[in-house]
Parts: sequence; C-alpha cells; structure tokens
Amino acid sequence: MAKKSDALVQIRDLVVRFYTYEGIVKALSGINLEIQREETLGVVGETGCGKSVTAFSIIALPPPPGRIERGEVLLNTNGSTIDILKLPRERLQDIRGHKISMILQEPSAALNPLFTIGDQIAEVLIRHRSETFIKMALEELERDIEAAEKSGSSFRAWVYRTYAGIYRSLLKNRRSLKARVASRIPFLRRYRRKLDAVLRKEVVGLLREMRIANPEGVFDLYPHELSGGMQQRAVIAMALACRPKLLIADEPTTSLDVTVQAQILDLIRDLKEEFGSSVLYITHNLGVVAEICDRVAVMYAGQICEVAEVKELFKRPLHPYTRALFEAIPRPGRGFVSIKGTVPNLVNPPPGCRFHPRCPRATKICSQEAPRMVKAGRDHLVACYHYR
Amino acid sequence: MEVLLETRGLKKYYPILSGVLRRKKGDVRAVDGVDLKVYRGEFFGLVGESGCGKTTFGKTVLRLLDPTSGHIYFGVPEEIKQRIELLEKKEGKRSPELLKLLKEYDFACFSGKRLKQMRKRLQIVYQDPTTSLNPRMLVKNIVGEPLVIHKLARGQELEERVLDLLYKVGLTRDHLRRYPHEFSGGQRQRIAIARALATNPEFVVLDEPTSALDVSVQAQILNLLQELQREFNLTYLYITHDLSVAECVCNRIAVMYLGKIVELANTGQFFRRPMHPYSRALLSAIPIPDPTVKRKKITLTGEVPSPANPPPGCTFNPRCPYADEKCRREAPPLVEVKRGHFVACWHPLK
Repeated sequence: MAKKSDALVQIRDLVVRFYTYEGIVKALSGINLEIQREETLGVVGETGCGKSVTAFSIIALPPPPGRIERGEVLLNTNGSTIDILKLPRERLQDIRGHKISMILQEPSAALNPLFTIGDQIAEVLIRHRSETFIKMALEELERDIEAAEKSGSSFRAWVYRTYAGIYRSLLKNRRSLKARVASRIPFLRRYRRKLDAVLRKEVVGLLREMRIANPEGVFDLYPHELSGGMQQRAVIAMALACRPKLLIADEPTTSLDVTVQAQILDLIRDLKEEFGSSVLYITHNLGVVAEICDRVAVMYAGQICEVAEVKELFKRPLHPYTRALFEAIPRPGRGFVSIKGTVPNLVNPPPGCRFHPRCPRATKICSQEAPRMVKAGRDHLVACYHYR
Repeated sequence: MEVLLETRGLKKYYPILSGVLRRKKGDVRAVDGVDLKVYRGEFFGLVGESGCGKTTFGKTVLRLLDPTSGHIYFGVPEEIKQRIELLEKKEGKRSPELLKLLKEYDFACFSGKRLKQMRKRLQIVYQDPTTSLNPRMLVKNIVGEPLVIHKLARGQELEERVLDLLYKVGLTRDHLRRYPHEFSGGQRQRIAIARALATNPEFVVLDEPTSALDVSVQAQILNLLQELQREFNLTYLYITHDLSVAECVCNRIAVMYLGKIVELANTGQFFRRPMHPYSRALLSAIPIPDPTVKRKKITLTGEVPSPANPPPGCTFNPRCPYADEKCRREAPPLVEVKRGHFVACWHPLK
C-alpha cells in the first residue's frame, strides 16, 4: 500500500452545500478520501447520499445550486501537488478530460446528438493533445513532400510545403492568424485534411481498443444509431482518449443490461490496467463493487462512514449502515431485510451520528456527538462508536 | 393447480412504415408467438434484456396494447380452449361458432362493456413511479380513480376505501391530501401499488417495480408485494431484468429473448441448472456480492439482433457458442425437457 503523501488524489474536509428555497442542503459535510495510484476505489451508498456530488466536486463542478464551501482536492501528478479547487478556469479545463475524466450514468445524455461519434472523440484529442497530432501531421506531410519531389511534381510539393507552414505556425500559437486565414480560403482550407486523417486513425484505434466491432464504420455514426452499450463504449473511449490519471465512473452500468454490464466492467478493468489509471467507481450495486473495486468507501447522508479494502469490507463490515446494506442484498431462501426509516433530509440532518435514528445499536452518545473516523484494522476506517 | 392466465401464440407486431404513402415495409416482432400458462396465486417471473419484448408482453396480456394475433384466456376452462383450437383448425377463422366462442372467452377479442369489466380484475404497476403518477392529482384521487371509473364506491365510502388501501401499503391519513412529488421513490411506488389494488384485482403485472429504487427500499417494496399477495390471493406477473431479485421472489421463471420464451422452469431448477445457453450466460453475468468468488463468466459476444430483422432459425444462434447448422436453419420449439422445465433449444445444456 502506498504511503499517504503518495496518493494520486486527496480530498480533505470537503464541504458542499446546496442553497435551495427549502433551506441549505448539507450535501457533503467534511469528506476525507484518498485515491491511490492505479487503484479502483468504489463509492457506495443510497440515492442522495452525496456520491455523485463528491465525484463532480473532484473536478470542481458541483451541480448547481451547489457550492463548494470548504476543502481541498489535491491532485498529485509528476511530483507536484495542486489544489484543483483553487485553480482558475482555464487551468481547470486543461485538467478536465485530460488528467481527470468522467463517465456518466446515461451515455445517451453524455453524447452530443448533432455530431458523429468520431468527431466527438477527436474533439477531446484536439483540445488536450493538439501538439502531438499536429507534429504527426507534419511528419506525414514531410514524407509527402519528399515523395512529390521525387516524382518531379514541384507544384504538389509546393502545396504541401504551404500546408506544413500553416501547421508550424499552429504549433507556435494555437490561434495563429495564418491558420485562421487559411481556413477561410478554398483549397488552402484543405490543409486540415491531413490532421483529420491523423486524428481519425487515432480515434479508430481507440474505438478498437473499446472492443467495438467495425470501428471505421462507427466513427461516422451518430449517437442515436448505437445501442446503449455501444454508446457507453464511445463515452469510455472519449474519457480515456488522453490516458487520464483518474477516471471517475458515475454509475456507468446502471442503465445497461447485465450482459452488457459484464462486458463494460471487463473493459474498464482491462483498460485501467493498460493505461495505469486510477478509477473512482460510484455505484449502489454491491455486486459490481465486489467485482472491480480494490477499496470501498461507504457513504451515508453526506458523510463517509466506512472505508476498507474490498475483501475486508465484505468479510467484516463494521458500520451498522454497511451491515444493513449487505443485508438488503436479495439472497434466495431468506426474506428481504430492509433498513427501517428513510434517508434523513439533509436540510436538517440529525445531530450526532447521522445514522442514529435508523441504527439498531444507537445509544445516547450517538445522538449527541458525531463519531470520528477510527482505525479498526489494517486499512479499515470506520466512523461509529459501537462497531465492535 | 388452476391456470389463471394462458396465452396461445400471442403476437404483437409493430409495422414499420416508410415513404410518403406510409407503406408497410416490415414488422418489429416485439412479441413473437408466446405460449404461457400462469397459475393462480403464483409469483411468475419474466426476465430478459431490454428490448426483448417483456414489457410489451405484459401490456398485451392486459390489453393495454392490442395483440396482432393469438389468444389470451383468463380463467377459461380447458375444454373451451381446446374447442376453439379445434374449430380454428377445422373450420377456419370465419365459422360462426368460433366467433361466438372467441367473443365469449378470448380476452384478446373482448370489447366494450365486457372489456371494461375484465379490466377491473387486471392491474399493472409500472417501473417508474415518477412518471406513472399524475403530478397534478392528489394521492386520494390517484388511488380513488379506479374506484370511481368502475363505480365501486363514492362519497364517504370512497374516502374510506382509499384510506384503507393506503394503510395496506404502509401510508397514513396524512398522505391523503398530498401530491406525488412530496413523496420519496419508495413511497410513490407504494401509491402506485395502492392504486393497482383499488379494484381488488386477481392478476397484477409488475413491470420492474423496483428498478428505479435503492436496494434497501427495494427490499421494503418486495416484502410489501409478498404480504399483499398472501392477503389478497393475488397472481403476479413480475417483469424484471434483475435475476437475483427474481430468484428470491418468484415461483417460476420464464426467460425471454427477442420476443420468444426460450426457457421456462421452477425458480430452484432454473438457477441450479439452466439449460438454455442464453440463460446460462445471463446468470453468469450477474455480479456476485463477494470479492473472494472468482466466477467463470460466459461473456456474450455481439448484441441483441434487431427484432425487425431477426436471424433465421434459432434467434440466439449468432451469439450462441454451441450453434450449428440446424440452429441456423430451424427455430427450436419450446419443449418440456424435464418435468416442468421447458427449453427452446436444439442442444440444451445438461
């Protein structure tokens, strides 16, 4: 296990509030969480417990009317640590989709219906890695120039040299005047084709890695022409296009069938190994957690109540809420055990431990003072007075 | 055991229209010839992937959609069903006796008053309670509406009946004058269940009633459904894609693929020994909530083919690891391989 300072992302005392007409919703109250390198961290909990808010806050995009009140999200890459929440907008956009990317629950909502799958994936590459691809286009152009000179067609060589000039100016300045003028002039506009061809090759390769049959064909399709599973693959391709350090997956398989879910889970696991990314996997399905996570954080009412390695958590769940969640898994030959009561309203969360009104072990202290995270074993943290 | 619902050769096709003249180009075969028997008092599970036609089947059985062809019988004696079949074979579709019998017994041919009377006995609970409850109606009107439509109660009595129903599903008097948006997902589903039970039905279609809910709430709703079944002697057709839930609640399970039933068995038998390759793949795809278990997954390649253009022969053959020449040529019938275990496959797994 890596040391503390080595974590890829550290979330420290994160507080997010929603200012609504009904009052201030305390969506997240003091989240502390670490995502290690190359691990899959699962976040489980019921609807409205703050799983998705946590995910969106990592990329400084709390869903409105939410506001990040306090806290730090430290991203540790290439030996330097930055606090994402303090970055200006332009810097944030360099991180989103590049260092940290996200897969959402509903693939049909994540894709733009007006652009082809290929164009949407290429957009990510152009935004974050344009330099690489312009260089690749330049290299190819140089080869073309040579070939043209050899065959003695000096006009074609001249055209290619002009294109190469435009690309070079683009390398120096992303919004170069030369390129902007060129893109307005017929014929000269064709300089883009080389770049498009390079991008196409890259995107098709990516789609192939997503185990999409016929990636060449899928490149030119619109989102509505694909099934849910294929759409989700395209979204994953988009998210992984820049080899992100952290992939946030917010219930990526909830809207899919079990057979497709199994395929997507395999895909995420394999790609994570291949790219060396970390994954923050948000779900409410404990079966999925057991399948792909290394560590699990259990959330309840805007707080984390237990963090442990997946085998440890399934063998020895300590927090009463975690136990109740496990009991609620349908198993044959046994009635369904449900958690009595309902999730508290986060405008007025219960005092003390937030689970105490529903907890079978609650005592007086639970309703007075919130329990702290204590170490209950190797890499096993729990916030409960009576976990023993 | 008494057969409550029986469908024979039930089909629901949606025409594909194209061109300026809206000419019919083909059919989407949502339900493609389903023969099914559901016994009285049973918790019958119908599972399958999205787009396999399970919801269409559920709706067609209730005549919320009109079937393209086939028969639906609710509590019709066996002799009459056989007589209808005989007449159909012998005298063709137009014989007067057949038409009379169909009007009398086949729910697919009911209309007008008889249809409305039948509807009282059949109800449905939909998947998403946020969309199945009218946001502009009060709970008491939502639950009371079936009673008003069927003229079962009015005035003071109506109010009492509604309250009684709310108590049955675990809601209270305070909830009477509220709107659906004031409730949580689980509570909304309770309202939908209360509405379904208002006319005291015999048969209820549950169309993925818990897929929009959390596990802990799901447990509450399933417990409630089981209690209500015992209390009112209900028969459920439980449509779901969640096999682990089906395993816990259902007596028998049917697996649907591309509009056809491919396997039908008792729950225990089905989970112990699935015989259709598709069922087996489906079962192996369920994530097991235990990280120490490394299961052998049978990952299906490809996707569900379009029901507008199903492959010839067995509809599963392009994705089936055991498919051979025969599977590509001929569609297998649903046959009883073991007692109470039906499979539609040329090479059922042992």
